[in-house]
Amino acid sequence: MKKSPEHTNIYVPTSLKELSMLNMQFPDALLFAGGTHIMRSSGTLPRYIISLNEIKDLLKIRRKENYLEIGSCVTLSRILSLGANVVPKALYTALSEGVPPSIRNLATIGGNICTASYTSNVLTPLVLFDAKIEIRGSSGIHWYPVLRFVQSNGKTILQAGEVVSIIRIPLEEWDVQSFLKLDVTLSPVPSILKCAAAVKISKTSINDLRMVFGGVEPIILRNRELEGILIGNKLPLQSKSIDFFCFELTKLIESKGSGFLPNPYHNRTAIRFARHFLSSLNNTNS
Amino acid sequence: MKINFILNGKETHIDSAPLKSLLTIIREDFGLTGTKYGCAHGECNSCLVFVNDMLVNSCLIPAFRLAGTRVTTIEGFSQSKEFQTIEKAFLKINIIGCGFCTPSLILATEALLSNKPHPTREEIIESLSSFFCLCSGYHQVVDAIQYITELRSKKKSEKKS
Repeated sequence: MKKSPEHTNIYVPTSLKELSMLNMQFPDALLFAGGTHIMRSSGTLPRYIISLNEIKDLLKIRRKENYLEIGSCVTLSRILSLGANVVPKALYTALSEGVPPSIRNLATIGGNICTASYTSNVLTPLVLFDAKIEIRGSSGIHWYPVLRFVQSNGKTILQAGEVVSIIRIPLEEWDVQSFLKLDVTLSPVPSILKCAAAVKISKTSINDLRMVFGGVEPIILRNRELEGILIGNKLPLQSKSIDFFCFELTKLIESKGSGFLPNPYHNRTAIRFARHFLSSLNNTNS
Repeated sequence: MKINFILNGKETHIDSAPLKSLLTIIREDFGLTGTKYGCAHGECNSCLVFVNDMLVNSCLIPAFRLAGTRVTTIEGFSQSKEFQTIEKAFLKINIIGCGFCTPSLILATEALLSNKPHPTREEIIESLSSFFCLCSGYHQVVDAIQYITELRSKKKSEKKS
């Protein structure tokens, strides 16, 4: 069981204003959203806990023409309930196939981002879609790309007294999207792989290509130069173009050291994912 | 911390440490041992319960989140008609198991069928994918759930006619 101080004080604000006041009063308080990460942790929790689940502004979902705005305390099951036509496919797959239903009912999108854990299922697809997050604090409201927000495993740029309030996901027309998660459950050594890819095809050539990999440390790998290798290439892709892309990807993964994908099988699977995704483009009729 | 909630249809009051898990509360404070203590990390799915009709891992819910909620454990669900249909199907398909994860499998079955009355075999498999059951054999559970959908459809069509 979790160690907690003798007297834990729980605060349950119902508005962002109340939250802001509590944050100023207790800047080191632990922010509690879904709790799926916190309840698993074995360390001692701080004396002050602020529960975020009663703040209506953090539970809103807004669908605009070009993007989807999701409050940070929206559960993963509520996001899935928007449907596969609304939620970008790679994110939808990450949530529906990567997270068990009972966890989806508890875990929140904001919690998944803020824990910045290598186990997070939402980070890879959010980085794929260039999602941004809104941070509220005493210095005002700021927007950051998810990729910049997450520094390393367990670390973000979030300062004491700040809170992530909104996640904004651009809604673009992608012709092909894919997500894959490979986990070694209950492995004694942290080991996980997440791959996400999306492509836009204009007539017969690649207009845009993105590919993001999730590992242990760094938890996210995205390289614009690598993505740019195939942009502008005509379909069907030649096998030597795919080989070159995979060669460069291998070099990039190796440059991150064994901390990124400690399991060699995950390493090989990342390359296989890239090869399979790129080869599958030759079968699209866009 | 004083907390009021509804447990298996009855109004309940407890005085608990705010971070004590719902799993510990229902097993140790109320003696409802149908909910099993497995990994306590939300991995094994042995501790599933309904909170406000949503299937959740009771090991991941702290006491302070219980205020005003409606909790249903396997003991409470076993009083329902839906339980009888599921029980009938599990017996009919002859699911052999140690019983450790059966209560959670039953609740997961109900959660799936209440959201999707006619799931495909793939959807059933996906809904059970996070269970660690070493003895029942997943195929039998999938068969049982498919049998329940048939039973429920049959009952509906009988009512209509």
